[in-house]
Amino acid sequence: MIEITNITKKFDKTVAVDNLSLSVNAGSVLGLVGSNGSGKSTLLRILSGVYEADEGEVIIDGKSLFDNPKAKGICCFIPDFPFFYNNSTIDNIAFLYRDLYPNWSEKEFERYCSVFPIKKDEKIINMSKGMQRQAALILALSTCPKYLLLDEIFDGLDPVVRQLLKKILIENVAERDMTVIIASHNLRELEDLCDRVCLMHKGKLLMEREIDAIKLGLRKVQIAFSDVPLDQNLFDGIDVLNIWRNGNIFNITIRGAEDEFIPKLNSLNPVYLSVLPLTLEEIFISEMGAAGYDINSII
Amino acid sequence: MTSTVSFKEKFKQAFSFFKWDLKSCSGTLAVFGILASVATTIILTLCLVAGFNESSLFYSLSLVYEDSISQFDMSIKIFQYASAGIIYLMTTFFTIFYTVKIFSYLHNKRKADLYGSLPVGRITLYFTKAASAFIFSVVPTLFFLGIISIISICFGQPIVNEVNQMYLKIIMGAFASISAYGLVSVCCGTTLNSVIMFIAVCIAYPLSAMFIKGTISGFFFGFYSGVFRDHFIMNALNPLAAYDGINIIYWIIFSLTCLASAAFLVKKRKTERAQSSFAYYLPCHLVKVLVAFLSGMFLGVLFGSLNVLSDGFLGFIFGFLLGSIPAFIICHLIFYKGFSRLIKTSVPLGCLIIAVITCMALCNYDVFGYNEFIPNADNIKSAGLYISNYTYINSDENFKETIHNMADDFSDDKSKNEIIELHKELVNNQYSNSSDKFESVWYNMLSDNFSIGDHPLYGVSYRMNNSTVTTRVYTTNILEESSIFSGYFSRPIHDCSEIMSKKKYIEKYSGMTHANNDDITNFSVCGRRKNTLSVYSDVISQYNDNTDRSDYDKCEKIRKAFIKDFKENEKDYEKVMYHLLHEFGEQDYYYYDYYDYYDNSEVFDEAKELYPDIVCAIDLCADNTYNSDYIPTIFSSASNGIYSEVFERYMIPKSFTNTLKALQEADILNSNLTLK
Repeated sequence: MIEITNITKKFDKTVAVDNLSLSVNAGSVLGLVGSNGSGKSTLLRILSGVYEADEGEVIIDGKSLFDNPKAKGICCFIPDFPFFYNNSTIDNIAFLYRDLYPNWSEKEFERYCSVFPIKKDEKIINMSKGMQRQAALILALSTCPKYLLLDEIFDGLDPVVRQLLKKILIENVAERDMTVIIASHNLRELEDLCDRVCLMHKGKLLMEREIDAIKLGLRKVQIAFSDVPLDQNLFDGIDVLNIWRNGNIFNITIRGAEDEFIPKLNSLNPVYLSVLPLTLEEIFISEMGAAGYDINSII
Repeated sequence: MTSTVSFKEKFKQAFSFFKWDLKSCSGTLAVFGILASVATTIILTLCLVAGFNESSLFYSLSLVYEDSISQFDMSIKIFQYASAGIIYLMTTFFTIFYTVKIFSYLHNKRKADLYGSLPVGRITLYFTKAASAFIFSVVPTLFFLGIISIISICFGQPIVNEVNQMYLKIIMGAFASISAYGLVSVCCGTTLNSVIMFIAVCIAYPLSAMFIKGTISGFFFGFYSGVFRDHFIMNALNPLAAYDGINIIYWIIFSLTCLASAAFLVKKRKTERAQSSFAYYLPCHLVKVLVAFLSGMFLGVLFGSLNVLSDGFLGFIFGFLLGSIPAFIICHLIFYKGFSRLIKTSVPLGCLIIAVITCMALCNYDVFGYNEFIPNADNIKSAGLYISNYTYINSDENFKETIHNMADDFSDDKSKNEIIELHKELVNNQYSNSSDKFESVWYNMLSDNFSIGDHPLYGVSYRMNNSTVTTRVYTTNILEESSIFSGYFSRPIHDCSEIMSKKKYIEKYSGMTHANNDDITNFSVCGRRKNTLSVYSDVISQYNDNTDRSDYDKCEKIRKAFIKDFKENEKDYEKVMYHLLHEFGEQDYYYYDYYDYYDNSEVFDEAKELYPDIVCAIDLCADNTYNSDYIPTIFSSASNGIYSEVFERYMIPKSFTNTLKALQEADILNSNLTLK
């Protein structure tokens, strides 16, 4: 289990992570989403021991993580731009990892090398971006980590490999109780993979919930009136996150249970009313809009 | 909450990284191996095929020339020295190269992600990297030195001392350089800044130290600048100086301190400082201040010596400000990539300017009265005197200590007053113009570093009534002789021959009594043949390449006999010391012309006229660390540029029977006491 308690990380005057607390259970997949510069990558670097938090602490399985080789031995981090030396091949990085990671599995290494279409003795630096990520994944998965930290891992991967990766991750979570934390802007992929999602903005945690609960909790409603009621507070008593009006037609994002807000909307005598679930991307935009981060406030 | 990692596990991790680094540096190691092999082969081939039999080549390689050695053996010696020298130079370069490459893991954000997330402690990682750099630098070099040694032994030649010393020099140099660069790397955010800072410290520190030394010696007339020679302080922050193989204890302490500091800092270092200018700013301030000081001193001393603004000191201030401020700003622009924080970080520059100008004012106006100090005879218990041409100090003695101990030599009023009189003359003759002082800084700062040598000419030492010892040593600059720089002072004419010719003084400070045999450059006997005027017979001559060991043995026997006679014989003392008592000052050229002296047998003839029982005269010239130096030929009138400084002439009366017997046994005198 990962316990993050009140961590803050500043870069000079910029607060990248601001007093953030979070718990990640073993065997779960957590998605980190958020605006650019919201602190997702910084959080992952703190969780992997690259950065030290200015305040607060990160405990992994009861051990402080920073500069603790034992705790780091069960974690593996793939950054958004993995580093490879000019002459690095999968084979010669495995040469280092084999001795460093206590759970390194030669069997898994061979297996992943055969699963992903990459040559072990090819120079990684000459590979495409997607191939480089696959190389990083082969090495990371071969360490059999208990905690796998992935930053923008889907970036550059083709749809087939994305599916393959998701399958492998789910398999590892199911079989080995591996915990995965993924920071990504690819919400479509996270939607399939994550149990929980954390929404970050300006270093703070805006929301952290089970993905099903998020999906169930937010609805996209289209409602049309022959005559729009004159009442100024038309949707009073309903938790409206976003509202967009086109003449007599309203598109509204509502937080809450359908059986609570539908009777209220019906009481307004609409000529048309439809309720649809939101995609994660729509949820993200709604929540960020509520936090003052929407297109209208940017432009 | 934290868990400890066993030493075995740490070692395993360290070894993994070592293997990893070995793989990444294998290309560079191969380049080193190929270059070293090729260079060694070329030199061996040239030595075996071409051969070398040039004594001048030996001198230029600082090797001891041996007459008895065959041309082939000499070639092998040259092979040893030349190939080891090339490998030594290559190592210096490659060590820096490996080190820069290995420590670059601290200076790249992507590398920092990789290394930061790996399950290894930061300190373990740092030490592993340092050890890798050290092993990559030293092991291949020692391997090649070993090969050179084996080749030489196979050819029947022992390993020359210079090659033996290189083992230690390379180990020490690599250790100090890697430790220092490692510390700089931890403090810097980029590899470029680390390299610039390392080079800046290696260059700016010794030059700054030279300026300080030059200023102290130039402004404190009477201060013995020899204390700076080979002193660790002159290169304290320049780890490349550890390759000289001197001050070993200091370099070990320095390297360990660098390693310990780096280990402490690397644990606290913020990983995100990679690719930003600095992780820790202290070294940056240090380098900026050093460079500002150096350029300020350069322009300041230049303007001071050129008497800009019609006053040396004002010229110095103007030059210092003109040099230091722009240098500081340029350093800031290089390190910070712009003007940000310039004003905020300028406090050290302000402090530097105030400190330097204050110190220079204190020196220039001799606020503490150092230069004018002459004690009152009533205030001293005893005194001692050193005059370079008459006082021999053995090369294994510490000059400063000897001068210090001289304070107890003479406690009689007459001697004390004579010494004070000479001291007064020296002080009165010193220059007072500040531009002259600034001019002398140039000479003083260079005197050691280019082996031009600094020569203590006169020294006085006083035991004060409160038992403290005060010494003053007056040095001239040899460039004065070539009129490149103006002199310090005009020569004193005060006659101290009575002190110098005292029996106690001769026994304690003459070359005859205690010079090392190998330091004697000329030993000759002047006498008369049956029907001719005075002639000389050489026993040892530096201009005679045929001098062999038996001549040194002869010399040794004659000296022993002379010392015995000198101790036992009281009545003929004045005859023996005739030359010093009558000719003091006549031959007091700082660099006496050997040939003039050699031809001058008039003194012997004069002495013989006055004391007919004088049989012959023994002349001795000796050099050592303090009394002579190798001087570039352009500054000398002697053909090979070597001067002997201590020269002594003793008249040998008939009563010196042991000496005369030894001279006869040495086949110099006939049985009728004429020269053969």
